[in-house]
Amino acid sequence: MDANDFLTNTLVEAMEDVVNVLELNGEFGTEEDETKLEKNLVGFIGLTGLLEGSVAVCFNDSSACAMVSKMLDTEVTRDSPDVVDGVGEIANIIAGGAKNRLSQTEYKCDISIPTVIEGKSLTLPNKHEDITRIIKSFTSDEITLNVILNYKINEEQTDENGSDAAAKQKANTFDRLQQLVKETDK
Amino acid sequence: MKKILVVDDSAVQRKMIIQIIKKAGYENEILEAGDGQQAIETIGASFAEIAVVLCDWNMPNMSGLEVIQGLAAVDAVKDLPVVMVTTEGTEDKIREAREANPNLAGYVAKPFTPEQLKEAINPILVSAG
Repeated sequence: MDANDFLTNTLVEAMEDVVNVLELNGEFGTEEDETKLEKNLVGFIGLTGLLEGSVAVCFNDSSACAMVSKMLDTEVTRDSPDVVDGVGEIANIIAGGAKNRLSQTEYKCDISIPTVIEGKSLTLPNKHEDITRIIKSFTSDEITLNVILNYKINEEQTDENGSDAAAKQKANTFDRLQQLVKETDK
Repeated sequence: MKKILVVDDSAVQRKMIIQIIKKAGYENEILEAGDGQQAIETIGASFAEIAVVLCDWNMPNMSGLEVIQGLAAVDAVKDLPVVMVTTEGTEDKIREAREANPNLAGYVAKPFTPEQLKEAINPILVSAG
């Protein structure tokens, strides 16, 4: 199994953890074109280490509300701060689940604390040449969840170099967010 | 009846935990903290009234690991039961947490079912009375 297949399976397993705990019924799929995904809320987590990049958990407004309503077992509307917070937590759990699965592999990584971006229609610009992108979706009657993994694989580093890279990555996360995500339909 | 302190930077995660506790029938008053610093302040002011701390790991300002390290270093609170509730679910991280606080009372990896959380806290709350 090549790296892309392995990481795809890992991402799906992490998504399945959330789907199973919340008892959602739906189907997993693969998307090719990021620009076709409806994204009003994006939970963004940076990855540092041997696997470097980001996990973006994307919802439209109604899916985000449905997801958080399911998490809290009570109806949540878009104006509730719980919607944004919940999207961040879903991102945290999916990225964390993937990270745990990768901890004993050559793709070991750390994750940042989630940041959530809101907008009417968000898009991720064209990726850099050295970045590989995986997009997996989960669709139920009420919820469409798209998860985008952007990654590159680094060589094994010494702890010192790794710490430097992690610190640099952390410092750059918000700047990268501003660069990577732009609002196109205000 | 002693209180339960829920520490997580996600308000939704705190609500989910509190909902599970209440639906399970526990009537303990529940305190909340949004990061490690708030948790330390709450514990410092109320440790004698707290039955268990449910603590996330990755939080801004002060992590859950720092919280349990701090608790382990202070005699008055070193035996306060703490259950980690976190996405950090690898054996290495669990070991790191247990080394930081040898009295760690439990470990629940996110995402968790209500049953998993109840299994972790029930013995503690029963013994706390």
